[in-house]
Amino acid sequence: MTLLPTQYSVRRHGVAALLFLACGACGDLLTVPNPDVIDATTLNGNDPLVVDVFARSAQTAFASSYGDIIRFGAMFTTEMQYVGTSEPEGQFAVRSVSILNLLNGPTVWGPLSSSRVQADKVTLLLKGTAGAESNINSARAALFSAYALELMAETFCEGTLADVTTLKPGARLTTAQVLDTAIVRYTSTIDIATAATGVLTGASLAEATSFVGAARVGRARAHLQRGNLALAIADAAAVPAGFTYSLQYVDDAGNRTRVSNRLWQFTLGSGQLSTAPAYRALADTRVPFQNPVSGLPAGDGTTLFAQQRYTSYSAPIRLASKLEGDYISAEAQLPNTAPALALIALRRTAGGQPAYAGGVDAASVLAELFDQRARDFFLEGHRLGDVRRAVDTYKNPALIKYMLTEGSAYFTKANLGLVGNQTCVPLPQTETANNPNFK
Amino acid sequence: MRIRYCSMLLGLCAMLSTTIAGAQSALTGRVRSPRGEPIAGAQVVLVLSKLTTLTNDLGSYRVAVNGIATDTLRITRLGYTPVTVVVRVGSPGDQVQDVTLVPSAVSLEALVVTGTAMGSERLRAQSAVIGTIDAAELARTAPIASLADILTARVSGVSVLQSSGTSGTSQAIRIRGSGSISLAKDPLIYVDGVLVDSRNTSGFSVGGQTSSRLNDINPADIEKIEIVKGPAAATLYGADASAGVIQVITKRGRTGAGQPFSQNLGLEYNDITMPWVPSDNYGKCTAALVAATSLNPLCRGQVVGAVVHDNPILRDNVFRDGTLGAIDWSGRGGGNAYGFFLSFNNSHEDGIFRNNFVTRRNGRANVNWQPSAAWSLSVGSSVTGSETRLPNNDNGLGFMVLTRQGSPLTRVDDSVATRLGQRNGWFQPNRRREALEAIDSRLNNLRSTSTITIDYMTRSWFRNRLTTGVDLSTTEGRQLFPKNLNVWYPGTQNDGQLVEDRLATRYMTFDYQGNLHGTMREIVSDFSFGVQLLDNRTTDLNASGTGLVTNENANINATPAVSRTYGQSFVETRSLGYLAQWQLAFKDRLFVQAGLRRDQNSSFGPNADAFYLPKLGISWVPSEDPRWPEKLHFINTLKLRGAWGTSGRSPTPGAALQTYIASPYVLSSTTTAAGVVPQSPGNANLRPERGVEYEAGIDAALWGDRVGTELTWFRKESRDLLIAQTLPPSLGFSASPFANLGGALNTGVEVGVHGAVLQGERIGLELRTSMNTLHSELTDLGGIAAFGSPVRFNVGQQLAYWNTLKLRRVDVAAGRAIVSDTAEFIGNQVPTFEGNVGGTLTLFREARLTATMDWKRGYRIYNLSDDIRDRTSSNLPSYRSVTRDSLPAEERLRFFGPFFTEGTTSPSHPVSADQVIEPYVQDASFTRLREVSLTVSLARRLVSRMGASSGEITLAGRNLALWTKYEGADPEVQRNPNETNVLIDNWTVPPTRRYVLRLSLLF
Repeated sequence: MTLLPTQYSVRRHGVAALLFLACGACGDLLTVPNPDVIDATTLNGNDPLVVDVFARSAQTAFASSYGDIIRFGAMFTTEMQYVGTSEPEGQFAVRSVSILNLLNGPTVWGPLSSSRVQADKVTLLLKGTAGAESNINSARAALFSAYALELMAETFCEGTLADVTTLKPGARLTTAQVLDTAIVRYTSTIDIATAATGVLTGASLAEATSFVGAARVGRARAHLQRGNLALAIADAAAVPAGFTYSLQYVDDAGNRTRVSNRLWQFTLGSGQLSTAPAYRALADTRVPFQNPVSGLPAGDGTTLFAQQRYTSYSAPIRLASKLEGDYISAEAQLPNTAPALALIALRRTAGGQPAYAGGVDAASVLAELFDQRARDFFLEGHRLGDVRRAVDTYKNPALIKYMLTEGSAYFTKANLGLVGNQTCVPLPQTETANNPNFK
Repeated sequence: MRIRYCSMLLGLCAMLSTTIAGAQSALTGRVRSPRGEPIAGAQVVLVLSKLTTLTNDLGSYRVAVNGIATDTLRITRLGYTPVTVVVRVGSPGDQVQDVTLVPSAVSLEALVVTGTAMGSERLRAQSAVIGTIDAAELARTAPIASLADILTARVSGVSVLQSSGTSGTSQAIRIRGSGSISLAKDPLIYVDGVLVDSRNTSGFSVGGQTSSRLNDINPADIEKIEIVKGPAAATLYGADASAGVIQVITKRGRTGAGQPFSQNLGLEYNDITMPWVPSDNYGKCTAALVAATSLNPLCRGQVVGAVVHDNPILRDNVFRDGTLGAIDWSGRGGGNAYGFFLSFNNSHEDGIFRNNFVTRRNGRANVNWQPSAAWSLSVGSSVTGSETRLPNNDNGLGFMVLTRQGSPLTRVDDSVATRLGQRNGWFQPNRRREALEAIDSRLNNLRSTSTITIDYMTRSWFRNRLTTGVDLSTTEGRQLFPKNLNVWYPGTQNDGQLVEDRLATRYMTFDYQGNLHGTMREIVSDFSFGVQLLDNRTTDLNASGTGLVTNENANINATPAVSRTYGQSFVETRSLGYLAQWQLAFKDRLFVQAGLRRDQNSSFGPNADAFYLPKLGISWVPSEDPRWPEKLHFINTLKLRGAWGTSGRSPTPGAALQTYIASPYVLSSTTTAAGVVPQSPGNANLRPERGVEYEAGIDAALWGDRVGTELTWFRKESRDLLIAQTLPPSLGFSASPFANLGGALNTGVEVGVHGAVLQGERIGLELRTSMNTLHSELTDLGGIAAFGSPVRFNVGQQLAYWNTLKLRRVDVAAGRAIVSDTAEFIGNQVPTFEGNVGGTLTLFREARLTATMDWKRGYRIYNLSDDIRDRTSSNLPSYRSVTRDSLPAEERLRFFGPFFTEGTTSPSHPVSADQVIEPYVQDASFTRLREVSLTVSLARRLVSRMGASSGEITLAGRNLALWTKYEGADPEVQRNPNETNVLIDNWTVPPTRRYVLRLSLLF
């Protein structure tokens, strides 16, 4: 067929117009790779490998934040004397943490919250899936979410949990509400990990078993903190004898903040933390320190007494143990003092102390039990929980020995002011000002 | 050797001129000014034959024609009134038609291709002002070494901050102020219709300054520059052009049979000096230093407390006189249906530091081919190779920071000066001139920019234009801190450190426009439509290692594995835009435009709608109306214009995405594996910042076309400004995502006046001035509290202003300075008034003297260098600091305190000096004699001897004088041009002075 010039022209223009319009359908034209960032949409939540990365990352996120919780908690409760020069840390040391504190948000509250979010995200991804690997990671996620919540409840005066599905900020929560949520997570851990032990073998089986033990200790801890004494005793009793679960750290010069032991980092690396005088005076093998440290500079020129509870960047930190279960059980059984006295006798021997010669009434035994806890769990992140129980549950701040009392001068640091009266850390303003549920 | 090289070039040019020039029957002629000066670059069009060419540098043109016919010859040139002549062409032999072009104060027929759709390129149709610089003409006389030199102090509203005096470094360009908080504020740069990379390049740190890819463009290749100042005119450039667009139009060949092949040869020499004399360092001699056994030659024998001074910069000859040597060659020619422009440039500039140089070689080939009246094809390609060595001249291990904080008390006798541990007047031990000069930081760049433009007129009423091109660039960065035994550098850097960086960029442009042209009685309709696709990709690989075996084996593989670091980045953005514009012209006097562009960009959030950019414009030339009142005839030309348009600034790539950061997790007590932590939740609704601008103005030619004026008022409102939104930490993310929250307003008036004061045969004087005001205000922060200190963002103030405790009074009796309880507005960072004035005096057609002076007012710069020298350096070496006890109490308290708050809103309390920076946030207003140049035509006899047809010699100076109250080195410095929201003088090397000698020959 021969085209007339006009027809030819119309067709030619038509083709051009179609080509032009076709560009409108070129949706892929605007799709570009972004390897500079890890795009969340490229992490397929249905891929077990991806979920494993998420789950183990969440565990490390918790372990990392745990180091900071211990560090700041140690300053807050005078386990460690702050010898640095930074004002934000100084506020923790004198228990006068401002809501504007520059470190609370990015170093304490933020990482702990983030580890909880990361763990719950794994739970969300694994919802409805089955399989041994799914179960071990489900248990992992639930366990570290639970511990993050536990520490949140013990450290901070109140809490809030963002919704990991909608990425919306959560409601304002009381300490009790946070603890209740932690208990739910511990229960999930126990259920999932127990079921998994039936199908797992080797290292995975050992890990699942350790998760069950750690969750039982954790749930007992939460129950004790919450006042559910019978439930605390039951959980503590179910912990196997000799059980210990520790978080692992690695000596990685390029990733100190992420994977290394933070206590050692701040002892050796920056010379900011020195073992507090009251603990040094105990001469208890459970409170080891170097006396004094030669060659290690202290931030403010003070002689540095470096803690020796952790002696390397890769030193593990104990998270849960049968010993803790025993303490929980002994405290929960008061005024029955027999279990507590038996434990006290054992622990004094372990610490090289003479036999207990104090009063055997419940109050005296509780005080001694708290003292022994302070030594056994020195720099393990338990002291803030002890403070909360002493003040809120027992209404007896004197249970907390070695912590500087309100109105005291902070050693030689007059510039930090007198010690305040805080028994928990306020949420940072970055949380309260940007979370609409706090307005 | 050089003379021989130049002689050979001259001979070659002369030979080429005689061999390539052809001779065919055609219409020829010369285009001159009323004073007889040749006018180069004038467009010569035979309207009916649809043949086009340009005049050469002698003003000559030649157009070959087939067949005998009567045609219309139309000659236009920017700055001149067009001339139309009816000619009879095609007779045997050449017909000669000489034309005289009269300067025009306002050239309504001039063509502007930037910011306009097809069919509306004439200036008379422009509804928004487009700044135009005749770069080809400018380069003949002015001391131009870079594109930035062309842009500086030429066009109202275009502000160029020199930043530093280091050769090869970048400048900051702002048009009509800054309209963004978080995004880049630089305009887009197009070369012949193709978007090119104009960002600053580093690859390693030299303490502040970076190299600019703008330096790759050879100024001698530029025909003209067009500047779109804001959204009112930038709509057609889409969702990333709200900071303006600068279009560089390169030189083209001349079409027409028998075009003479002409060549330009330019030889240039610059002497580069440092006009600033650094102040001395001072100190008071101690008892140990005045002792006879003291090694300090300044204090020995003095009394205790004697004030001594030293100047390591001058004593150690840190500065030298730099030089530039350059040779430019270009050739133009063409045939019956084609034209070509070829150029080559080779330059080498030694900066004022011994380890600072720039070597650049450019080649360009532009070919245009017009096979028929309907078709034309333009192809252009440039290749640039450059090597830039940058000194550490600012912070860190920089010359300035290490000399200006030195103390004369550390001076030692020459015999011991080089011993380990000696400062000898420098700030740190062993940091001598040779130590810093040994740091070798180089950027090797290879760049190629290619453009193709196809113009096809399907029908007389349907025209198509396709512009496509690619800008490719690879930069190899290498920085070596040589291993040495002199402890020249701190820590392990002294064992030798090597940084390698490989940066590659690719910018691709595809731009199609169609135009439907129609006429109905006295109404002309132009409907334009098009599609534009842009793809920009940047990849970077870098690595470093510390601990070299030897400097000769500087290789990262040779460094211990534990010391090595590495990194990689990849960024790509793609945008797709459709546009349509309809213009109606009534009697060629009233033009009404309406346009719309729809943009999508890979950086937008997935939920963000397409970005629509509407525009409206009107242009009216009432002076051409027959009813134009007689009493207004002193107004030769009057054009009224008004425009409203929208443009945008796209988010940074990846900002919309929910992201994670790679971070290891622990597998055991000895091993880790690759893990992730949450970074940003992203923002699926992220859209571009929207700039909406109104603009109205007048262009007028007055009093016999002797005076031209341009007056423009603009109001640019920026909406949806991206602000990082702080999240509650409980969400678990470490980064704050961007959200479209803010708003800003920039308004101002731009005025330009130029005129021919004298137009005699022997003497001519042209004067010009332009100036602009700028009111910049942050209007909305989207509910977010004001943030930033001392550079603050707060509603009602200039976008990014100085905010610090303000000095209320000095209480001499109480011995204290009283400051405000809280930080307050201290001053702006962006000038509120800028302008320039210049002129050209022409004597006997043979000599032209031009000068330009410019000024900026209403802004402040933080003189951090003096603050450190006075108050925080460990040496406190300034005279003010050393003699503080003997200063008048008022001055001493003002600078050094003690400072107390006034106590009106809270109890008065002491504040540290670092919170009271007001004395150092100083008025940066200045007036500068920017350029003076004298260009003289060479005697014809002398030129002939060199085989050339004409020649000029230019003697010029740049940055010749400065008047300012600013106490630092220079108010035009900026410690890092990449810091877009803060203007700080922090050990920055001030701009240099240049004396230029240039010889230009035309063959």
